[in-house]
Amino acid sequence: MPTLLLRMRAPMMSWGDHSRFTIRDSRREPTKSAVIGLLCAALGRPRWEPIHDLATLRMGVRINQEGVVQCDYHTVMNSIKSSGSKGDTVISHRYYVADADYLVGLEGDDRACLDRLDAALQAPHWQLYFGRKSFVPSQPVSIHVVDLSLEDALRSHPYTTKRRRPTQLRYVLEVADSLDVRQDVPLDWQKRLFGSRCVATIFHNLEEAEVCISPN
Amino acid sequence: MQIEIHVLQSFPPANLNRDENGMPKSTVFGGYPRARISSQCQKRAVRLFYQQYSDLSADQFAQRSRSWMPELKAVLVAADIPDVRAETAAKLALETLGAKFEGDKVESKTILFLGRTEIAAIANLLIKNWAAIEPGLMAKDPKLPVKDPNMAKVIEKVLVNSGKPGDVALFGRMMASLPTANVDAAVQMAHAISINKLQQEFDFFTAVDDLGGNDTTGADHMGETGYNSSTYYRFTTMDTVQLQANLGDDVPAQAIAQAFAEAFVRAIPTGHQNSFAAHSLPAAIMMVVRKGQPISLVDAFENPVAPKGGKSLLERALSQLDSHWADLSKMYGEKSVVFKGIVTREQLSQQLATLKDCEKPTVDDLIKDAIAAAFQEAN
Repeated sequence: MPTLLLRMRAPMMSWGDHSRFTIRDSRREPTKSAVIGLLCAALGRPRWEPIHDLATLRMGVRINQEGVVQCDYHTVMNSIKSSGSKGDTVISHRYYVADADYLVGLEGDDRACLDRLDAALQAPHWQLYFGRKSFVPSQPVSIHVVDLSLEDALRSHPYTTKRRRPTQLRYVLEVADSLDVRQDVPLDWQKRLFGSRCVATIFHNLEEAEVCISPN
Repeated sequence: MQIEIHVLQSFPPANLNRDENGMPKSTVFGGYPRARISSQCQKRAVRLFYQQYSDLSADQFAQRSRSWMPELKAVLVAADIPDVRAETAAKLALETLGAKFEGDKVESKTILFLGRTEIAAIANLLIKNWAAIEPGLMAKDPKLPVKDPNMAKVIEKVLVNSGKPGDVALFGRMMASLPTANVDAAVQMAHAISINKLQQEFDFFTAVDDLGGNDTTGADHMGETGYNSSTYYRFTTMDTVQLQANLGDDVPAQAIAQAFAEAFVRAIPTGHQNSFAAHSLPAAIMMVVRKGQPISLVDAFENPVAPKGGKSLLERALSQLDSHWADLSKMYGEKSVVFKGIVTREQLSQQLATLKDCEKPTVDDLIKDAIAAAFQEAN
């Protein structure tokens, strides 16, 4: 089954899947809702249109570089005070992953559909960002579609780094059944409805992937 | 079309954007701690700058406020509506936008991002339908009419269907209680990240009592202020299609885009500026107009930059930016690039190799040419 590969790299990214209100948590790798949201932005598909076709793609992530979770302290102040009194300041803590780099794969049986998604990522209809509008990509997101299963596609994609090479890489793959359940499968953006899926975390020695050292 | 602006800017010791402990914000990039200025902080500085210095008409400005009630009331009173009724009508109208008032407070609980033209449009609706509205205001539990016309729907319609003020069109608007009045921002602004390793410092200070006698030696107050001195990579990108869609057909987006670009280059956050006066201008500005996905050049600084071999921090940063651009162009091509231009301080421009041939003489030329290229291509 063919797999669409995406590169997700930026100094700051955020992958919330359960937090609301003023404390916004982040996962350590992209959520399915974030990746599908990104595809919808690329396609120019508005919030009210169905997303079932995208939600059924099987997703996996190779963590090229583990980031560090950081917190951004954010206040919203009242800018005009006609009464002269000070208004309450709204404070929120927004966690994000700094300094991470991901390879994301989406596996589906419709090759033409995956090619369309890849083309859309090259010329996105709306701006692309990772979790928050200010978290802008620092590499093109689109890679290409390969005729390999999800796991093979992720493992065989060249690993490049300017830093010290880790001995193994972490993979988070969507599986039929496991105890690690994530509620991040978008069902309806407008109603903010999310279904759940199971994932498995595995590690592969890096030697198994083709290693290439490039300036980028 | 995407208009990207890339900026290299050094600040002397400063604390432009604070975290909850009062320290300058920071993050980690390339495995090293870096100084950071959040996008929110920069956006506010940009908004205030362009409201003050651009030639745009005040119709293009908007404010984030909880105190719209007195503004709206004043317009009604000016149209000869009695004070008390004007106040009630203004409150009810703002409540249809999701504002919640508590008791007699003139401020609502929620902040609304509105332009003065939008307030004027709401006032107009109220005045036009005053005959239908007035009876409902005198009841014990005052209400706006829900039939002939349904005022809430009419107010919503005027907000949704009319063009948005420049601020709102650039930075977007989110109204949880009235999602149809939401606007998707045309601008994406990255958090500014220092290209050098962060060295966070503390300034220990004491305050002396000027009128103290000879027997009061030492300090009356002691404290510490966090600060650092950093050179930042700042990046923003603007979607011209989204901007025009947000503004509506009547307003030319080009003038707004130009005002935004000028403000992004020149605006400086105000945090702790009375103690640090860190008012410096960018040393290098690059603008790229692109079809398709915008790309931040922050990876040029994944390895922190340091002065070396007689070359300054900025010199080394600029040559890294230049070679990063060359690398990316080699890997991905420049098919999507419609325009590229760069301006640097003269002593720095010797560091350019690949980007040498797209140098512009001044910042004004760069902005003008980039904006023209973006809008010419779009038409």
